[in-house]
Amino acid sequence: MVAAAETAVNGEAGTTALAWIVTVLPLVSFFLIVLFGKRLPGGGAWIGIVAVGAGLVMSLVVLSHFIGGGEATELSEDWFRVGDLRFELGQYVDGLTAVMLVVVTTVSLCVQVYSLGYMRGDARFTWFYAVISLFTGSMLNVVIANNLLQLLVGWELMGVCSYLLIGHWWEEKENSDSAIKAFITTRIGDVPFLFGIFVLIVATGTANIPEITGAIGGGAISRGLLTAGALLLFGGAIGKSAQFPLHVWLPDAMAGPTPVSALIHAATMVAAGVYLVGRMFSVFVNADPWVLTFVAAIGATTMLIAALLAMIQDDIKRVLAYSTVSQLAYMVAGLSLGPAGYTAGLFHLFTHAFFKALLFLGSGSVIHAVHSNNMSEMGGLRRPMPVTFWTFLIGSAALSGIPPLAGFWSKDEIISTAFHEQHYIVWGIALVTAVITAFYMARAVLLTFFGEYRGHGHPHESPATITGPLVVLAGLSVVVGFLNATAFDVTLFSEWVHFGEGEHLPFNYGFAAISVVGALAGIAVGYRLYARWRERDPLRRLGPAYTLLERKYFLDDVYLRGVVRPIQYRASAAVNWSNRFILDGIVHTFAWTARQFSRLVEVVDRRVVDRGVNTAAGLTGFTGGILRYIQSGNVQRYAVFLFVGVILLAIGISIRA
Amino acid sequence: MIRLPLVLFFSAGLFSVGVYGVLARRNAVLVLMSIELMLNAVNVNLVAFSQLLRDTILAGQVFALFVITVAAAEVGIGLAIVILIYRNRETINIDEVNLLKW
Amino acid sequence: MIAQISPPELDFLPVAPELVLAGGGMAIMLAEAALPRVTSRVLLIASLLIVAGAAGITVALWGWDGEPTVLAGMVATDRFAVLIRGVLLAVAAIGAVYGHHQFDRAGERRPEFFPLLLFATTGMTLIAAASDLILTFLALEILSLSLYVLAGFSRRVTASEASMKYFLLGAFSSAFFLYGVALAYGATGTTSIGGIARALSGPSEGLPLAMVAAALLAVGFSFKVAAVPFHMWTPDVYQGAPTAVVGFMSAATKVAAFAALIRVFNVAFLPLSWDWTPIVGVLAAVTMVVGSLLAIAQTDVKRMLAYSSIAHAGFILTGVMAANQEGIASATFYLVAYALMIVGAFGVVLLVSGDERTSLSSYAGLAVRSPLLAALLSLFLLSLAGIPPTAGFMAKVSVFRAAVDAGHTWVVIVAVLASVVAAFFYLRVIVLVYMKEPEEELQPDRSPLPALTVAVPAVATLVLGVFPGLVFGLLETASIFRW
Repeated sequence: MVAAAETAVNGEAGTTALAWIVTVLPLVSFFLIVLFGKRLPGGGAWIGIVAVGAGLVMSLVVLSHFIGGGEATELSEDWFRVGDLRFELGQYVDGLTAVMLVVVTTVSLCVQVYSLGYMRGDARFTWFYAVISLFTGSMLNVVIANNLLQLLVGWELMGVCSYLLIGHWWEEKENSDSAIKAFITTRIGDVPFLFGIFVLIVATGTANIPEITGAIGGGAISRGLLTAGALLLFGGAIGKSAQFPLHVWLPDAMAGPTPVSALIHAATMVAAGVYLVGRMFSVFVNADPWVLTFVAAIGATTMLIAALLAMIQDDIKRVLAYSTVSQLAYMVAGLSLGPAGYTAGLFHLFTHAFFKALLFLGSGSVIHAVHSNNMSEMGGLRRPMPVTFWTFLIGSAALSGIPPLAGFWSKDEIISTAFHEQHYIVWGIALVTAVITAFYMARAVLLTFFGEYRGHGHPHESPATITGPLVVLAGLSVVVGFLNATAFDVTLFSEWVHFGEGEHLPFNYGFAAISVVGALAGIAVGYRLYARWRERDPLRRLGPAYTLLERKYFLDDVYLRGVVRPIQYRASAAVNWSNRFILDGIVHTFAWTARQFSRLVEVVDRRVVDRGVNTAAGLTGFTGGILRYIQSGNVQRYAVFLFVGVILLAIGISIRA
Repeated sequence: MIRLPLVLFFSAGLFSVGVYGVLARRNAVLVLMSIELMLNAVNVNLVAFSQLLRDTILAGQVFALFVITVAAAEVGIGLAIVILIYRNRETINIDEVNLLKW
Repeated sequence: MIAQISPPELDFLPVAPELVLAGGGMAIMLAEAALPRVTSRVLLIASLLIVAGAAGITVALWGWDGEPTVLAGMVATDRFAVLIRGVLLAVAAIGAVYGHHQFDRAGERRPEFFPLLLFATTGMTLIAAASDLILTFLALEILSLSLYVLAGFSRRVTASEASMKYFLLGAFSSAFFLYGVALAYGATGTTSIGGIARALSGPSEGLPLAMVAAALLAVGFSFKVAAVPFHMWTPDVYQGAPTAVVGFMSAATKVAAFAALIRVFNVAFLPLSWDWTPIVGVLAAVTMVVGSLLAIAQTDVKRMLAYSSIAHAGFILTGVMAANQEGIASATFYLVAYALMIVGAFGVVLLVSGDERTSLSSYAGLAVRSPLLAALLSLFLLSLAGIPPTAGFMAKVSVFRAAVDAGHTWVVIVAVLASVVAAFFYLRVIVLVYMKEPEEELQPDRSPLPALTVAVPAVATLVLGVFPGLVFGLLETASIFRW
């Protein structure tokens, strides 16, 4: 993308032309840090901070374009051409893009400042900043991309970055295992995503997102293709945004340093999945209606099961991780309500980013002080760590949906839209989940900050580089909700982000009251159970249900036994089988049978003498089987295959001719 | 003049004999000779086509000369490799040369 | 019936790169015989100068505006040939450094390496420019004969075995190829690639014969590019041959053979494209799947890269089967990207394991021992896996899109699945390199020259991943054949 890019489908680019600079800044800073970081004072961290800070300022300028009711704009430049094919590199900026730019840069800035203190003295400090910059840049690229291929580049890069960051402390095997798990799980989602992109390109003949949206709006695309495309794209979102059944990677991603968790959970990576659904929303809306029902089912399921899991965790970061999964499901459920829920779902994405980043950074501050992730080794921290305590409390209240904090406005909007759109099941589950959310956050706050200190040493308040971002994020968590405070007729956010006409519901005090009462009830139960520390978690009284939660619904076991192990151990065996019986069978069936028979006789014979040796030998022979037979090392066998190839080609040709 | 299809069948037969030799013979030198047989079968083909098509520039026949040259070079290298194998393994049975596999 | 043969006009400039390479190779051979004490370093510098000279002429040929073919229609002067030559010469220069380093370090004196490398390169550049099947065959033999010898360039027993297997199977397959040439000649009355196209575009009674000819020619090319089921030699030869030679041949042979395949099938047999595209599609699909699946089961890094190279042949065939300019351009881009990443990957293997310790387990913890080599290896593997922002990703995207646009969606579906499978085994190596503790004392080679040489394709891989337009720009004119 060059500055002299041609404009613009919908209007003058104006200040939105800055958007691509926002994306390029962190990428530039990535290269600068990699190249020069080690030689600079401060390990190059300030390069990243300055870059993302400048990005934030520009993002705000871009956003200002929409405050006055600006139109969406597009800039693009040919990236390269293959024959008649065009690949473009461009930006598409509408209200959603602008909002996401602000969110990503804000959170990234806070995280980077915070890491100055948190990561001080880390062996790979410079590397950490480099990857964080790349991570931020990749997400920004996903946000501004005007075509699916460019989006895919950012999407994949984020996968690689998350892999690097989660495994940042790879010296411990557990951490590198988690990194691999994250990478592979999200890649499983990437397969349908790739096919989804192909379906859309095949259906519309272009990868350009506004053009795809236009073509769909024009009704040129068959509904069948759209349905397939929507389902496949949603597969990608399930993986990236950690929805059931691919949510398993997110809690393990806690293995990374805490600032990374904040970044992954709040503004990048997981947000990308929801953002994708929002960006490609017309595909979902115009597909067969059951697609959105399916999306709603996934959202509702994930919401509840993740919230239940969050109740029993001892690791404070895992509580927050499951809470992220659950909140993402809120957004997905919001989007599944169709055009009416579009603004609500994405508004929750927006507000959640701030308070979830706050909560993660707050938990990091606590972990920094007590050197443990476990809440059983915390307690009573409100006195030594007042700033952390108050900011964490604000974050928890926002997440629980206590008015007038940010979470209240967005969550309430989803819940009331669900009711209004007559999705009563979604509505019910969302309401129950809201109660559980308030409960587990109350539990976390009580276990961490109240009672007696149960850990080792004497915790102190963290330095200003850590508390500073906390205070800023806490402030934001208080105010951002008012961008769409329907109670006061403020609908700024829905002017920026809407689908179609974007009518919004009038504020309903009745529903708001139900939500608030629910949240308060959750907090009350939490207080009742956890006001006093008990060695044994009161929830254990749930018996088998607790075990079910403790084992994460046995999902990990199912994956391990059903998917991972067979891939690990059986893939080669399967290849062996097919080769042994199909390919080699043609050549050597008889000889093989005879040999096997004699071997069998031999084995039976020797069994009396020595069992163990033969079993082992048989096993090795079996595993190496197919490859040994097909790639036998005998050059004439190879020539036979070559000749068979010639014959097959000749047959193929004569069939065609 | 021989009728063309007959020549074609002859050369195809010769080629097949060569293929059989390559696939069935265990002795490396005999395999080499079989490959030569295949090349020469093609030479017969080339000359016959050149004649049949009344090719004014005799491309087929000239090409046959090239092929003969290439075949000579190929035998030279092939024998050198066989000697190398014999020095290393003391055998020229190609089915005994199978250290590299799987 | 000898007709009047008028001597063709001879314009040698378009084959000047080959003349320089062949002449230089012979000169080195003679010089080495006359001056037996000349060091490998001097020979290396001489070879690099020769390659640079050939490259200079090649660059000048980009602006050629004379006849589309010269030397009685034998040699094409189009930009496709020029571009491929450039890639091949770059790989040859890298290969020369690898070879010098490997033999020098092992204390083996092998001065014949350089002339043979130059002869092989001559054959490769010639096959890319050949516009007559006679020359295609001759060039194929020139490059093959040199490579048969190079593959055995080691005292290890496995090298001679690799050489023998490569030779026997290569000669066997080139006999089929030759048969194909003869049948094409019989069917159309000409061996000129353009002439065949002209003969086939009209009504012709030789059509069935031409189809069989196309199939047999495909056998010869498929063998060289290692497409399944003509791939069996690849793992054995890659494992047995000296790593430096493998680095050169894995990249250069595939580029050269694919260039010839693309030219023959997109010019001579273009009129029959409706018939051969589905067959090439099946070949591509089978190749990708088998290559990717078998790569998983490998425990030797050279064998793993061999299967990876097989899988990549399938991806390139996906571009070829589009049978239009997009397809040619994307397949050619893929070739460039592939050459860069495989020559780089084998360069790292050369430095880490040489010829001996090629077991994958010896790569555990490489990052601790040599962070630079670990990073380079990871970059090449990421590119081979097709993860952005590397050249491998752009290459995959462009061939997939070309195939989809040409209406071959099913192959692309297979290709995407295969590349997902493939990503796992590349990732496995990266995990090994970064996440595992070193199991044995692994002492990677720390020589600066080869490391610097490996860095060149690494940078190029990244640059092409971000600015693929650099090559696609050239391909706008270089993907058009003139005949």
